[in-house]
Amino acid sequence: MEKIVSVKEPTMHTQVPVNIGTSVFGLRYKDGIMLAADTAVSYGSMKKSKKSTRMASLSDEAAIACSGEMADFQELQKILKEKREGDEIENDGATFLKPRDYFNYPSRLNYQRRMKMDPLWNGSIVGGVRKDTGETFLGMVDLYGTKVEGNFLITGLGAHYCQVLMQNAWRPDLSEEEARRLIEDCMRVMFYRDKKATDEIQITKITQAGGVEVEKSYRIGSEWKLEFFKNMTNEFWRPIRIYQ
Amino acid sequence: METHMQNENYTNVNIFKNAFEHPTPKALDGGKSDKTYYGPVMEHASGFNPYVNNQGTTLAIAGQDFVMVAADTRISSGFNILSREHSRTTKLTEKCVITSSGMVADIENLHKLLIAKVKTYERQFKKSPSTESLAQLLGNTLYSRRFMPFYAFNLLCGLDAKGQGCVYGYDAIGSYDKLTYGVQGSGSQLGAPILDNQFVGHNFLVKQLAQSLQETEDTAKDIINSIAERDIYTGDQVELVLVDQNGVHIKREPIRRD
Repeated sequence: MEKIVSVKEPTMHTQVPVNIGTSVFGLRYKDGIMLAADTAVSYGSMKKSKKSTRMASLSDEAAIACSGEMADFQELQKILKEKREGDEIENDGATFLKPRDYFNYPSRLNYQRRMKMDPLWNGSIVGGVRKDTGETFLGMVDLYGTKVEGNFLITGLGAHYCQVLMQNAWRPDLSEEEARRLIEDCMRVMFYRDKKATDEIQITKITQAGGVEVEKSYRIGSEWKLEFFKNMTNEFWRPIRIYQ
Repeated sequence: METHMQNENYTNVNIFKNAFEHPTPKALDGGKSDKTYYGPVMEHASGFNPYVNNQGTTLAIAGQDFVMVAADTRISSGFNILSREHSRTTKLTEKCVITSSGMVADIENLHKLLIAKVKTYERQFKKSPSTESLAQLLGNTLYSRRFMPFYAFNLLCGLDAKGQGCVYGYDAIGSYDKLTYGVQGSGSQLGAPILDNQFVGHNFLVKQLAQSLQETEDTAKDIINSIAERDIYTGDQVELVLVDQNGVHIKREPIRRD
């Protein structure tokens, strides 16, 4: 008798991210948490989409913003949604997950997937404000499952360009306008320097009073009509010295 | 794996240096011939490396009736600082703490696993596990992951059955040894000789070693400070954890942040 051999396709894992969203930002301010990302999704050097949403609300007091592989972000969103719906059904419409739980869950998920050598290739920032106590939460998790909490967090290339900008400008009592201006300044730097970034950004605010507000995306101004680009000279420019 | 089979090593040396940090030379023709390419290995779409080193230093010194743990609180990813206030030390029982350096995600997993095992033990036997038992448990736990190790270099610090301070030092796969002092992490090469000098004092003409808690604490702090001077991955804060008869006491002090 012939042996029956089950033919199975080899399991494919994410070896490298393909559709990439670049850096995301998160910061604490006076009223709560602000998350920000631009709306570009790149495929190699090509901008595949210039109007994508890279953030999502997770409950009425927590939200997530993701950089890295966007397919994995959508997968994560799906998993979290199913988790939440499952909880709601189990608990008769009540949910007990707090912002920190919405942070710990993806972190454990990412660690589990790393152990399977099948990572969710994301750098994610989770923010939240508890409605009952007003306690704010801001955390970042990477594809290894490393958890980091802080007052301002940046993933990806933004960590190289904007860390110092944030460090110098951040205060615990930033007003909403100041926080927005700081985010916009950072995003402008990213637009100028990061080829995968755009000048169209999206912000999510989480406050005790207003809950999660995922805003519409909007364009930030950028200035390119600089003398320097025409003359290639400014007060900082020095001619290259040629030594004999 | 192949690499460290060649350089067999039974000492407490970072095996990851061989296995992960220096990738083996790759054949340029995809392995069709025996020729190996010794030039720079290109970072290409070649897969996922599940290990990352978040650096940082931790040290522990056993005293007559206490153990002093001093660790910095900085964690890094490449040249970026991820956090300036991450704790490396976890309390396991009233008489025992574990402190680790390496990959933060793995370390957190390991610490949580140990806490769970301690709790199970406590429920089952209605007492806390001794430091000696925990030392063997940690060794077994690390070795159980021999073929995908925890990227964690640990010091298990506590009081033994006689109430004497003791430190157990580990490598990532579970080899361990009882020590009187130990240092792990990115600043271990900088810290080890200072500890040798201060707590063995081989070449002292008049041997006066630190004995008291205050002296030990000051020395531990000095050593972390000295490491922070030269190791870019060590800094921000020093977390001092004292384990003595009265339990576990934690305090923090700022050190250089650059």
